[in-house]
Amino acid sequence: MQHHKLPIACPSCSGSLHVSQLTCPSCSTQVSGNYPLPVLLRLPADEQSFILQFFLSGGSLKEMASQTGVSYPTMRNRVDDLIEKIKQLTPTE
Amino acid sequence: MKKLLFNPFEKYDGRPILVLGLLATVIGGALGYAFNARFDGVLDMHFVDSANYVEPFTDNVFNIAALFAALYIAGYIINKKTRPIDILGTVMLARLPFYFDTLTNINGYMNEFGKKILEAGPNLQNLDPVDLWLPALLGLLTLPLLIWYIALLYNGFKTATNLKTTQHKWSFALALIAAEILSKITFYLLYS
Repeated sequence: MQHHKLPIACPSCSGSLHVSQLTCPSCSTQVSGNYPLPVLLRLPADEQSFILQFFLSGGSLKEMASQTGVSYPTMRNRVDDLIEKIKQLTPTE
Repeated sequence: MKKLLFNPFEKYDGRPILVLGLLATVIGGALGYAFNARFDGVLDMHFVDSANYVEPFTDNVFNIAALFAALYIAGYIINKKTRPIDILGTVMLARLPFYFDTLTNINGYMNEFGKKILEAGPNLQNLDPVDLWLPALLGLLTLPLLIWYIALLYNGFKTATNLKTTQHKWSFALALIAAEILSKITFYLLYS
């Protein structure tokens, strides 16, 4: 089954998109509302997969660095940049 | 290839860089001894009549220490997560291109040229044109090697500290100047 990329930004104004409808795939029940996307889903797909990979490697920067073929400081910088980005997305949390 | 020559720190870190840096320092000392070069400052190299085997090595140790101290302090101010091993490895490896500049003094050529210039004083027209052009061309080699050295230093520092802003770039420049002053004072106190 083809997985479509989840759009996170408005193609018209680049604003953050909200969820307005959810559907149960087995009984087709639909729920409507206005839900903001969780912080992690507001990140681009590559950053989401990076976080998942980081989690799966037990949060080890060294292991991540060796898996991706970059140096430890390069990996640490990437994580630090991502932490900064997530902090900016969640100013009140 | 370009990345490997100018920014190996993105891919390699810690021990491999430190081992390469140690190797570079040994090569630098050996080249200094072979071609009678003294590294009398972080950004300086001068040719002498005869350098003993200890002098170029100790010169490099003092230069590495001055650069490490200045860059590590600057790096720690920028980012508390800066590791000493990354700065030390960067400093040691970055100096490798600078050591190659000693090759311009094969057979004491550059040293002799310096003496001829001093002897000639203002009467440079008395010198054979070949005596002027060849050293000038060899001297031009120094510039790309110096650029390579600074580029390696900057890229290593950038990776080690996650350098981003203009203020951080100024910190790097100031640290480099501070290291040069520190090394000059050290050499003055040691050898004057």
